[in-house]
Parts: sequence; C-alpha cells; structure tokens
Amino acid sequence: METEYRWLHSSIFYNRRQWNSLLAGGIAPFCSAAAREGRLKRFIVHFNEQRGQNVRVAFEVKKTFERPFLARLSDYFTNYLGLHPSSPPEQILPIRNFIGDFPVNKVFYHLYDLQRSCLNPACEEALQEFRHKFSDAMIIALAEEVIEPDLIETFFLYAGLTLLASFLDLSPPGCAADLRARCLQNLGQHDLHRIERLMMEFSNVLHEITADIREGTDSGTALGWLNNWRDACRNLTELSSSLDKPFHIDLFMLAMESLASQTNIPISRSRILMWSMVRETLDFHIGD
Amino acid sequence: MNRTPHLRETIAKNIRDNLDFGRLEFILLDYNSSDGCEFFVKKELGEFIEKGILNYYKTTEPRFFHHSHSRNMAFRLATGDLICNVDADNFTGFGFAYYLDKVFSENEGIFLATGRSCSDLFGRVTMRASDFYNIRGYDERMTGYGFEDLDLINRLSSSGLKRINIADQSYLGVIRHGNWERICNKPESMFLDSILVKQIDFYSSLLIFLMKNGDLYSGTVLDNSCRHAADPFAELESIDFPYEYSLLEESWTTGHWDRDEDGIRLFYGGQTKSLRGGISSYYLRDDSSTFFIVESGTDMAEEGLFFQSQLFNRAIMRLNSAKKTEKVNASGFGQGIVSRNFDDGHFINLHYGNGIQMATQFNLL
Repeated sequence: METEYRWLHSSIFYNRRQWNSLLAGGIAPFCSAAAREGRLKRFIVHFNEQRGQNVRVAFEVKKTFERPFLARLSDYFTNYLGLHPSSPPEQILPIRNFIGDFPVNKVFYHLYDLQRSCLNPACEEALQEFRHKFSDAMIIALAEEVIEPDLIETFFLYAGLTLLASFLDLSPPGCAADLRARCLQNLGQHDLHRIERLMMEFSNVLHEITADIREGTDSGTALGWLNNWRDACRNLTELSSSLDKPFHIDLFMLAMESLASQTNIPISRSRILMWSMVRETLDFHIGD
Repeated sequence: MNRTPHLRETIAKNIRDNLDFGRLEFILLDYNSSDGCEFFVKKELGEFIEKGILNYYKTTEPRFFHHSHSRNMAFRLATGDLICNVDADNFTGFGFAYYLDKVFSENEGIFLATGRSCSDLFGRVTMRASDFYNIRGYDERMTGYGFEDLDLINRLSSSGLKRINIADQSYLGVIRHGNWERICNKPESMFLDSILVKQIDFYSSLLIFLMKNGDLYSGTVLDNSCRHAADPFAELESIDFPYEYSLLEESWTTGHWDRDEDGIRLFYGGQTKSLRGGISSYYLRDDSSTFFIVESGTDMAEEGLFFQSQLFNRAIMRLNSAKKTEKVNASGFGQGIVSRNFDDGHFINLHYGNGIQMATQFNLL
C-alpha cells in the first residue's frame, strides 16, 4: 500500500566545529515549527563528512506538502546560513577527491537516500522512529559543546550502552549470549589485536557511563536527554522481543549500526566499540 | 597480458569442465606477457596441447596491452563456427560448451552476452565466426579500458542479431580483483607523470593528465549524480543519467607540456598556460586558479587513469552508436605475427586477410 508520506533528503554544509549551534539554532526550530504545523511527521539527522563537513537531515513529509515544504526549507536555511555563516574549513592537502567539496554554508538536496532494511513494515517503522528519537537526542545532548570526535564517541557510548541495557532487561533468555557471539563474529582479525588495548583504555569510562545510565538522571542535568532516550530504547526492544530470536538480534544490530551511522563513526570503529560495550556490560551483569 | 596468476586458477579448470564436449578448441593468446606465462603453459598445460585441445599462441610484438586488438587477434586464430571470449579471470563452469551448442543449434540470428550485473563478465560474448567477421571485430580505435565489449554487442545488435543473455549463474564465475590490474599494462599507466586537477565547482573538475613523454590529455569531468544538487525540487523529478561520471567535452583534448625554471607550461586547446609553484608542493597556480597535483603511483592516480581510459573508449562507443556504425577497422584488425605451441621456427602472419590480453577463446568446431 502506498504511504501518504515520503522522505526528502537535505545536506547542510557547515563547519563541524559549529554543528552544535546549527543543530540547536537552525535545525531544531525549523523541525519544531514544521511538526507543529502538521507538515512534518519525523526527521532523521546524520553527521557526515563526505565532500565537506555537513549535517544531513532527512524529513518525512506528507506528499501533498512536499513542494511547499521544500520551498520553505530552502528559504529558511538560505536565510539562516546567510545570518549565521560558519567559517570555511581548512583545505586538506593532498586532495582526496577529483571533484571539489561542496561549498560551506549552503544546503544541497538528494545527495543520499535513507538506507532501508529488509525488515517487515512494522519493524521498519519502529526503526525509523528510533532513528528519529536518536536525532532528538543528538540535538539536545550536543547543543552546548563544540562537536569534536571525542565528544561524538562518548555520546555514542552513552546511547549504545542505554540501548544495550534495554536489550538485556527485556530480551528473552539466551539472547545475551547470542548477541555476544554475533558481535564477536563482526570483528576482523585485525580488530581483535586492538581490542585488548582499547579495553584497558576504556574500561573506566565504560564503568562510569554504565553507572550513569543505571542510576538514572534528572531532566535538568546535562544527561537529561537520557530519560527520553531510555524510553525510545525500551520501546524498540519491547517490539523487537516479540520477534524470533535471530530477528530480534538483527533488529538490535541494525539499531546499533544506525547510532554509528548517524554519528558518522566508521563501521570498523563502531564494531570495536560495540564489542567493548557488549563485553563490559555482560561482564558487569555476570559480576552482579 | 600478464594475467598468469588468474590463468593458474581458471584455464585448466575451464578445459576440464568442458572436455567431454569433444568438438572444442581452446585458444590461449599470450600477448607478450612477462610474468612467466609461457613457462606456466609448458609446465602445467602441456597435456592439453599434446591432445590438441589447447592451442597456445604467442605474439612478441606488442609493448602494451590493447584489449580490442588482442581479442581480434585471438578470434582470428579460431577455426570453429562459434567463438566465445573467456577472459583470464573467468570460470566457464561445467558443461558451458554443451550449453552454447544447444542455444546456437536452437536459434538462428543470435549472439550470447551476459547481463549488466557484473562488469567482470562483460567480456563473455559468444557469436558465430561469420558474424564476427561481418562487423569486423572489436573496434581497435578503442585503446583505453572498457566498453569495447559493449560496443561490439551494440554493433552485433545493429547488424540484426538478437541478444540472448546467459542466465545460468553456474556459467558465470569470476575472480574478483581491483581496477589497477585492468589498466596496469596500458601505456598511460606506465608513462603518467602526474595529474593536475582544477576543481571548478561541486560537480565538475578540469583534469590534465601529464605524460612523461610531454603529451597531455585534458578534459572536464562531471559528477552527474550531484549536478542538480542545488535544486531543492530535483528529488521530486526523476532525472536519469546513464553514467555517474562523464566528460563535458566530446573527447579528451590533447596537447603537450614541459617544465621551466619556475613551474610548468601547458600547451593545449589553442592556449598556453604557465603554472607556478605554490607554498605547498601539492599544487601549482596560474593568475586565477589552483591546480592540485596528484602524483603517479597513488590510489587517486590509479582511479584517474582508470576513469580516463574508460571515458576514452566510451566516447568512441557513443560515436559508433550515434552513427549506427556496424563495421569498423576498415584497414584490418587483429593484425600481427604469432607463433604456435612454442614453435619459434614457424610463424603465422595475421597481417593479411582477414593477438595482450590473455583471453582464452572457446571455439566450437
């Protein structure tokens, strides 16, 4: 059955060091207004650095509104970027592409398509909602600080460990062991050599983050976003738990890959981080 | 040329998988390889030569690989009614010869090709020898990489033959490999000095390939996938483009270049440009533009060469299509001198009448 909504894809080229202000001052107000007016169902944010530093925002809009929505989007961001230009990033030499980067402080369209999974429609819908909720979390959690790679990775660990905690709480018996096996399977031989060093480096950080997540947070604190995020993770896991075990784990893996993709963490790095989280969390559980 | 590592994996298996058909000749053309092909054939394939199943031909004339010429040469050495090109990295699968015989017995006016799913298999084209001679083979003006097979297919179709795609995947095995192996025996790969890149905007760049002998090739490359990216409504239209990348001009502009004390001088398209060194060794400048330098031997240079090579051939294919050209190579094709089965005392002269690719040619007698 044809849906009444469609996804529209934009890429806002902006200096990464000022992404936080773009998220809070540009993207969030636009999306809130469009949602209030009933033109926007959801949006999904991805950080991206292909052909220039940019924030990708995909909008799910009613097909009947698509033209006026695009016109509004174009006007809004042309105006916003004109009033709040970011500084051009430094040219990296030697060049890495024959074709030059996209110019900064401009919006471009349809440079990508949201990846579709091979899930049934209900799961696909749940996964899109999860990605949308994660976009909300990105906007709130990353609004105050310059978005450096270290910050992104810490944020990914918070988000990932929260998802993992929901998975372990709500999954049928036996899933944790299967998940552990699956994550290990995803690692290359090269990764295994790096894992021990990383675990030494990360162990304390993972402990602290895990404690933060388990103890809960006040809405007014810097980690206030975790409350809504925890709900989003539980919603996905509850739906997913009704599936056969392999599909349940598939959906969890897809969700975790989404977190990496939306924060632009390379897949090889994300698999190592994921294994670190799984190992640390399972050991912690067993320790309990 | 120089694809013996692939042949070690494929050719004996391909022969054994089709041996029981009987009326079959394998032709292996050694296009002046320097990677031990002759030694390999003597040592590993001698039994097939003695039984008359395999004929090993060698030409020592070519310095560089020429896809179209090598294929034409091998096809001209074939004596059967049906000819099939099997690239060195291809597996025919068991019973492929029976399959070809059956399809051609049951159908008149056809040729066989593969679908578009895997470019490594585009070379697998089977046709009647008479049809090959009718269109005068692969177009030897195509000195780059790629599209010579598609051009041949287009011209076979234009001549009135019906294309049938091989659907059975068991006949379509292939060794996966990188692009460098496809172009490393091309003269451009050996003689590239560097590539200059002037990035014009977010979808186009001027590329200038500087060759060690002073030649240059220049052209404006377009990234069609993002050409309309500034238009908010482009996503609502269905804008089709046949290729992700294309050349703005009809073909590469040729010219020459040299070095002087301060930088380099370019002479092409009726203009002279002097480029001077910048603060960084990664670029040169003229009065208004920056030309980034891509050194030969880098991954980007390989990518650029592959691209240049493809676009060169693609331009010829498009020209043939536009003009509805069926017959090519007016002055002959597959010409050269070859020896057969290590007999260096007797040569076959293909300069008259009607072989570096190491392609095996199937030849149903």
